[in-house]
Amino acid sequence: MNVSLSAKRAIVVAPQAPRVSRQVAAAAEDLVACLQGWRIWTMLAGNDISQRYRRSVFGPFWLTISMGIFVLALGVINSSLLHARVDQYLPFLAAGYVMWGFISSCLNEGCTCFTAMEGYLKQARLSKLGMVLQMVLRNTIVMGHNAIIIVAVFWWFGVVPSLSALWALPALLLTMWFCTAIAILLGVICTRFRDLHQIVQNLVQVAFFLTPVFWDPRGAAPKLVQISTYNPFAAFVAIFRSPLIGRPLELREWLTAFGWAGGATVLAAVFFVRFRGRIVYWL
Amino acid sequence: MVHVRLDRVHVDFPIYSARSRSLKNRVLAKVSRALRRKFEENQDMTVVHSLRDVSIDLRPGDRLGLVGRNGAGKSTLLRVMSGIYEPMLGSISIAGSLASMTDMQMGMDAEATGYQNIHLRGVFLGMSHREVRELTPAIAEWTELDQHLTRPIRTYSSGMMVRLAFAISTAVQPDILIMDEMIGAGDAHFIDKAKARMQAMIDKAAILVLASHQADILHRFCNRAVLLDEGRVLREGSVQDVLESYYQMG
Repeated sequence: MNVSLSAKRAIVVAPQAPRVSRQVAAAAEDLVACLQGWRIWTMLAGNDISQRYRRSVFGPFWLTISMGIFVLALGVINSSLLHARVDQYLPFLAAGYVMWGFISSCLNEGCTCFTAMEGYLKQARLSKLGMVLQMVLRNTIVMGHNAIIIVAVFWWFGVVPSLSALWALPALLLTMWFCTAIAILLGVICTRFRDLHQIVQNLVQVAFFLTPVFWDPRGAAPKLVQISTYNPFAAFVAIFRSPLIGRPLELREWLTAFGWAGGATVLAAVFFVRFRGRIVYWL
Repeated sequence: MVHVRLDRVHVDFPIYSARSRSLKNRVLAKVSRALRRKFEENQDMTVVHSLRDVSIDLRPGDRLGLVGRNGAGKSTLLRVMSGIYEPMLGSISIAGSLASMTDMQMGMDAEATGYQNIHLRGVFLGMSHREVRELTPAIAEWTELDQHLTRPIRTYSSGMMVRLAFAISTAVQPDILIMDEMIGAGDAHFIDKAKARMQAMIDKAAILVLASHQADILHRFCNRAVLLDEGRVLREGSVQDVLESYYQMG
């Protein structure tokens, strides 16, 4: 009953090669292993979701329910506080908050994406990037559940998105890319410095208030709007939300988002190449 | 060609205290170091030299026994050979499919059923979803767990758990087999069954690395041995010679 797996490529860490090119080669090997071993991290993500379903019938919908209650409560209270029309404010809040939920989960869980997988990483040579993708994929599936909130709110207020709402999809993809890069960065640093996770959690909390999720940049104080132009999360929330609630595409927002995603990718690549080999030692 | 080649491998382990794990403390330390130049370097960080200058060349047919006292670096060396720890200095080259039997229960999920766990572990071992499905009946039959396999494995006894883990872990034949102590599974009936299965797997593997304290096991499975002490290779040669040196260490 034994099957023979085809021999895998040799793992070679060439002794003559200078340190940096050795690290680059090893990081590239990790990427290849991540792509070839896609089954492992997709299965890990899927198993995590199905585990939630095993424990309760609603599974991840419990998160959706609590998020839905939050959106509803904040929406009703804020629309009267801000003298906004509920039928405009709630769709705005729902679309933005679902995206914010994805970003904040990725930031928080990015800190633990390697430490949480200690049992795996210490027992087998597994792709470290796969551990990050596993986390991003899991949160994307959770976001898929949360999208029900957007649908429900839109349906209730009779908001019919136009065809340009499809722009939300590339926006989501770009955000996933950005979150992956940030999670690599946070994952590496938080594995070494364990108190950073708490710091990040607090910063995410603050970032929520500074990001135009529950307040509309249109008609907000100029100071606040100015701050949000330097806030990467504002751009990613905006490019996702605007097409859904029928606001025009803004080239500036897309360029900003691409800029942040590119910058994060470069930083993540540098940190990953430099410290990838140390991650297991730090666990 | 299948091989495991270690060339002058060094592995150092940083032992971080709670203080040096803290970014806040690191930043404060940097500041205070600038203020009083006397601040001692790395006062919270102890470095343990786990492996020093280890060179080992394994080719098909090699069955290497690893001998040494607790803390000699055997487990670290096994993990280096599995590609888990990347050496700080020196180089390592591994060619061939590799299976490390150090933790057979890795990747198992207590909430999932026996069948689901066969699938989980199978994918971790590098199988495609279709391959796992094809292999599942044979694995299930071998465990003799029958209807238990449809239950979450948190309901299993430890013996049942080991049987399942053993059956899955030995379902894929690797070129290079790495083991920390010889493994058996279960009650009297199962020990014989597991022994036969393990033996078949070892026979088919091109290279075996086995860390063990038991002389009879080493004599039976290994054709060469290495004695490790404080991370260095103290003696290398036949199982007999190396065991003699090991016993002389006292």
